[in-house]
Amino acid sequence: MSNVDCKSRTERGKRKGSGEATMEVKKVGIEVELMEVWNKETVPKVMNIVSTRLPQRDLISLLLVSPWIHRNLISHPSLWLVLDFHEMNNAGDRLVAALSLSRYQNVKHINLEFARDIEDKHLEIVKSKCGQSVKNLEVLNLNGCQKISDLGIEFITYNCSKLKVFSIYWNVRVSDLGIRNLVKNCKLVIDLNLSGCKNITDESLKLIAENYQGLQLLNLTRCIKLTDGGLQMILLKCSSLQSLNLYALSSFTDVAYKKISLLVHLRFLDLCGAQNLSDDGLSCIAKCKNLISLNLTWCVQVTDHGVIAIAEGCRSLEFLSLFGIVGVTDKSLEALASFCSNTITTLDVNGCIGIKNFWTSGSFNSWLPWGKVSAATLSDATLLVNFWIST
Amino acid sequence: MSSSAAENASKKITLRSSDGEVFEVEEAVAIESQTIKHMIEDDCADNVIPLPNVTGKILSKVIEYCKRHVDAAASASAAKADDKLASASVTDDDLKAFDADFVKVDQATLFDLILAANYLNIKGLLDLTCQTVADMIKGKTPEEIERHSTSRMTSLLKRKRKSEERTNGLLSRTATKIMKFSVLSSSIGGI
Repeated sequence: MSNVDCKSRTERGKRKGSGEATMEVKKVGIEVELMEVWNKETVPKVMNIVSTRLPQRDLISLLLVSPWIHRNLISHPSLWLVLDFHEMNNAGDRLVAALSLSRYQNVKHINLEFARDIEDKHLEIVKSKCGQSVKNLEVLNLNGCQKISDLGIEFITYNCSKLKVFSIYWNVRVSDLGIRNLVKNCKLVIDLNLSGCKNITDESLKLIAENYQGLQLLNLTRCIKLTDGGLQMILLKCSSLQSLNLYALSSFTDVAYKKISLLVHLRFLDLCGAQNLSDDGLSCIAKCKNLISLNLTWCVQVTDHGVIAIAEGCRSLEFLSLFGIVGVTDKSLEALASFCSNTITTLDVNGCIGIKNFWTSGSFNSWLPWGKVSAATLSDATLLVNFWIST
Repeated sequence: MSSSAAENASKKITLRSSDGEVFEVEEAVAIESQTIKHMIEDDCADNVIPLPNVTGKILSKVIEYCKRHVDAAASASAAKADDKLASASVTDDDLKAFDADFVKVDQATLFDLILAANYLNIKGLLDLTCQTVADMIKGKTPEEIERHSTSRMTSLLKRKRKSEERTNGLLSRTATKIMKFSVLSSSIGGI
């Protein structure tokens, strides 16, 4: 008797226990469902919206968070147009691996600035195995990739017929042959940065002038082998130039400088260190009416005559550096005051010991937009007036 | 309540959330949403504009945001007209403080706000909320991001362990499926 009683009590106990458990399972079942919606729909949707605001590396981290985010992001080609390996090590291997993935088949921008472990051999693999992946490439940044040579340039640009922007600064292995390879493969370049590529000669400038007549930006900083001959070819043919950087190139003379006047669209000009530039040359440059930024640091032969010509000619000037020019006096300031007061925001007169009355001269007060400055508390019109008085 | 003639004269728009809550707002506030603006312009909005993708809880927060920004813009332009630059910058700081507090919400609300701002096409709100999430993600490892965005997992796991003792493992099978997915995701290598 007691055995049966015990049995039924235990059975009743079991049923009661499993009833509670079923309720718990139901509750958690709903929770699980909500979690699934959260993980599979809500989070991927939100990450998709946020993804356009994330740098490439965080985008890649996101890919690894969940398979639903992964699937969602992969299916949006606009997110996979950039390969950014700047300052990374093993960049060569990473580049090859990435270009083999289907989602990077339409990549438009490759950034290898100061990337380590990237050499010609990696670029050769790209050419032979992943050639099709770079067919839409428009921007290639090889700044600081010092192991790449002329041959590497040939490999990487081989399939990039649409390349528009090519930058390879601070690479002393690049020579005229590299430029020859570039112009052979890429006919549409509009922005070329060869800053620090010391082995480039006038031969390269000839190739650039002949092939890139639509060129808009050119940086030849420290390409010390260049001479007037090469520069003139550029000035004659590349009439669309808007930005020309000739920083630290002291062997050019007025013969070439005068022809800068041919660049009617020029907005940015850096002549830092142009020790042979005279007032005559500068007066010709003043014909570039659209100049916005002009750097005449250490152009030590320039005097008031040239600067006044600039003031009269370039009425849209916003940035002007006269750093180290001792031949400039208050007359230049007065001219700048009369002609460019509306647009100038930055003026550097460090070392201009010829200027005596900077603070007290009426000219200073008349042209500085004091009205604007006081209201904006110097944050909008960033006026840096660097001034040094000789005693 | 402001007593400006402009506010009294402005049209009111009625919005209905997905869960049936009804909100009456000034037209100026409603058209902060480009989606609603187009609906009004295309004459699709007769009496009530239904917003089936937005719950009442989220919609009220969105309206709070839009109202605050419309008011701030109005007082900024008034200050400019009176040439009171000082008061305009104070309003700017107030607004920034408001925005900073606005996004101090739980993750679920924040994510829902993003989806709402996206659907309703409210640029300022979308920028604010997306930037908040982007800042949360920046520089984090996938594990850290996952921990952040699947925080509900821990409470579920706790319950799982409790009920596993009682049931035959129905729950544990379901939960294991979900855990397997997350293990799978972390094994997907890639660039």
